Amino acid sequence: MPRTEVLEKVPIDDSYFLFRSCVSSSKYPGIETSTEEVFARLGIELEDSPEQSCCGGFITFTSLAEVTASLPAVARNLSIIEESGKNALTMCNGCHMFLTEFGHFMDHNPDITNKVNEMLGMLGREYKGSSHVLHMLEAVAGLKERIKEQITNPLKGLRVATHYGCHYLYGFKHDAVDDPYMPTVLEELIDIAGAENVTYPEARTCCGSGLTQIIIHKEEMSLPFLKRKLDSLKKIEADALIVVCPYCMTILDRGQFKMEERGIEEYGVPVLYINQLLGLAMGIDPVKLGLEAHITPVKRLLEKLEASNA
Amino acid sequence: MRKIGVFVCHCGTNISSMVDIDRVIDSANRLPDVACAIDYQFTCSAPGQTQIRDTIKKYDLDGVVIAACSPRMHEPTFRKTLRDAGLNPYMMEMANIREHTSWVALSRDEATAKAIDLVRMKVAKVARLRPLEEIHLPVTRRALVIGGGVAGIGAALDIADGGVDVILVERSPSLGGHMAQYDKTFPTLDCASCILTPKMVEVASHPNIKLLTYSEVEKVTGFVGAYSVKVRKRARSVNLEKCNGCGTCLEVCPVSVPSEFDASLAERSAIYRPFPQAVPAAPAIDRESCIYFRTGKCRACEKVCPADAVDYAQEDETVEVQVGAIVVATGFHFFDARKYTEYGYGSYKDVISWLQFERLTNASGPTGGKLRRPSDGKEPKSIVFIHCVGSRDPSKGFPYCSRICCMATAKHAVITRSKIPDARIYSFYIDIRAAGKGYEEFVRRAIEKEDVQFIKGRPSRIVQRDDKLLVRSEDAFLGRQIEVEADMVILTNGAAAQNDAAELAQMLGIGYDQYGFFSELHPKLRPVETNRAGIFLAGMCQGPKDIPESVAQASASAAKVLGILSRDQIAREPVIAEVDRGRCTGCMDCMEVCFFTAVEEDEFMGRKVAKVLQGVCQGCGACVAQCSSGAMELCAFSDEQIHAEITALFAVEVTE
Repeated sequence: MPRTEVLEKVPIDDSYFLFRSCVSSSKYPGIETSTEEVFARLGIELEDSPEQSCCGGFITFTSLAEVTASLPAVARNLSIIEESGKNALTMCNGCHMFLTEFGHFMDHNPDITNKVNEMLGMLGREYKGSSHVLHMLEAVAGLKERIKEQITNPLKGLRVATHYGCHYLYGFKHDAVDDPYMPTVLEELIDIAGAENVTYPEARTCCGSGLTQIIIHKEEMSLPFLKRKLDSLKKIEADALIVVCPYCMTILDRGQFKMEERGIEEYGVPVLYINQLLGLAMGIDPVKLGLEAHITPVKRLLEKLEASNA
Repeated sequence: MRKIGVFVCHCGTNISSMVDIDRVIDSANRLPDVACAIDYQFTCSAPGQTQIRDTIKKYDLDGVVIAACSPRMHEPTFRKTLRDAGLNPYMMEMANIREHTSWVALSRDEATAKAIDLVRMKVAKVARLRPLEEIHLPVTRRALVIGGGVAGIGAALDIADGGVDVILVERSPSLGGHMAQYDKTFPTLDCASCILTPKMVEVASHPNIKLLTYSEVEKVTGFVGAYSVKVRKRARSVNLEKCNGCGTCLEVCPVSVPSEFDASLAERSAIYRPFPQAVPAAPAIDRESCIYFRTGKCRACEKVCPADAVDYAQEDETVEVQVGAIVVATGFHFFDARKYTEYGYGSYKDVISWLQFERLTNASGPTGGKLRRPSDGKEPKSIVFIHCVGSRDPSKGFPYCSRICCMATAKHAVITRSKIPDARIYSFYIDIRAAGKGYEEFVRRAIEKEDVQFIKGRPSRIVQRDDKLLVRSEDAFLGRQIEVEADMVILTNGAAAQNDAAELAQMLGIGYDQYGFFSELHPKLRPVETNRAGIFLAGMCQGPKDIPESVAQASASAAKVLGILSRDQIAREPVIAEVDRGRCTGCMDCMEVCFFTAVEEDEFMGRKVAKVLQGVCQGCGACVAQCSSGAMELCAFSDEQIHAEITALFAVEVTE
């Protein structure tokens, strides 16, 4: 069940700092464009900065270096957010986790922060610890009443399943906007978009990613997880799977192609970012939502929508 | 000038290994009020006490400082020694040079310096002590037992058999508690109700026991030997005198609500008897679900009652009873397994709680004792038990072990095997804790003879696929992930304190821990007493324990109650607050802050003044701190005595 006390604390601002994510920028431009389009409809400005870099997660996720090696990158990004004077909005579970977790770590370890700030000083920057980083799921859940007003093309008859991703709900068990094992926030948004919620047994399990698994263990660790998940998803004949993390999206979208390519199984369930689904319900052009960049084709989904709207 | 004797104890080497005893003696000997300072290996031993007595006589001492362990340990011992030597027992202070000094110090020099300081402070205090006399109070020969589960029943019967009147207050409509819901007891597989219901009947028919069911204790005032207790008898809407327990009304009631007794697996009517063997057999009307009380229409039960016992006009009634001692046996409630959302309790129908399993296997349960899945009524062929749901898990706020669940699960597994011989039974555990007579053997039986697969691992989640439940877990011995396909999963929820335990503890004025379990006075030596004299504990309300332990505690409490009530008078420590009526302005701030309601208004020379009730005051000192005019003082802890201690602490040691 959604946590009302967290929802109430979501700051509803006129503008946010949009923290771009490497995966969405390089693989799924639609995640960014749909976010921009949807927030424009809601009358909320999004500002970003060309100065921003990778959140810093890659170093830790891949176990390439010690955890603290990410700190200067995280602190630099946070200092850019601080400079904007706005609350930040992340589109990726990993970015959210890194910025929030490491920010918290630095706020409670002044010695380390001083060291990090020495390094940032060379770039003429300083980490102060004054920013607030929001996850996209928190933001859209907090804005649901305003989203309701913007729905022009309810997605009638569309069968939609969900996948939340581990790093937000599990990583922030006590502070996240929903319960990690029985979340319902996304389902509520799907209701608002006018689509039909469908559930599958493996809805709340991991996509099989975890960068370590993908890079180091690849086949034997990662693929069985993915297959179990996709098999379960296929049975319920969903029209789309909704995610809130570009990395989960990569695994679930491209994973289907991989399975098919290797002759393991055919799935064909398009994977959409939450804002892409909301965008469709707001009548935004699918091209603007970047749906064409998806590896698992969305054609059938769009045809079904067109048919039901006609 | 006082003649004070200082006795320094070595406590074997507990003290002497860290404290230089000779230097302590030497320093004490130089203090002006000290007549003699001597040491001994074990001051608390018989020869040690003889030494004190002889020294008191030899030097004609009028005050004693004993530098040894904590006063919690041996203050009563040495008070008695003083009395035997003809000295007022309250002319003694203990300097704690063990727990507060030798056991915690890092260097011998520091420990010795602290011991010297403590002795000097206590000498300064003893020089200002005055003799106090113990308070003697009359005793009301009647006891109150709160809670009618197996512990409360045991305590009430033991006290009543000792010839003392007992009032037993139970919140629900019937005696029995959780044990009445169980199917069998471990490790003998005795039928739970077969051994409990005769006891319930015995309570109801005992000439010395007055049973108040559907009642709650609202207020407790007074003190050991003379408690005054307000009990609210909730309106049962059925006249207990007239009702013959025929049960006709239960059949005509049109209402169906989830049955608490059957753990929501079955339904009951609005006029209900929790279970067939309930004592008393008379039903009660649950006014929240009764159609008549909600809409003013129906009265079906009244129409059919042959004894004319249904009485809608009944109202709550408050009675005040006088008792000399109280046994608290309010039990526990099961941890709410919905907090483990990963197991889906509450969402998946076939994930059930331990209590629901008990009802499913019980012959008087909703399935007549046949083990069936709640979802489709089919016989489960693969059954998974999960231990420690709400136990040993700091992340859920329950880091303690609930003690009974390992055995309960072994029992459930064995019962399952007898009901479904070809079932696959799995039990996921963290550790098996089977410390008890015949317990380990019973678990071995489950593993070796009953073919129950015990898997060391804590399941990470349960996923429903079609009509199966997939339990995913690590297998700590194999070191890899496993998945078990189950038809039914039983969560062995831990034991938690009653939701309103803290409120009850505050009303009774007894201590409780961070989990809501009531605190015993001493974990080893006073396991059933509380910090309030005359109030005792029995059963789960003090902490998780099994039935034999609960019953043993009940008997222990009963023995304590009989001990108090066998006397005409009881003596109390005179360490209580005292009013200087010349200084008291009658503002009564002290009455406001008194937790024990020990202060009342009095009149002195035409003025309003405060008065401390000797028997009620517990000597906590709240009123002393509150009093703006300095009229309140605590005997043996007066301002003068404490100032003297502080002054002595900072005094420079006199050197020759």
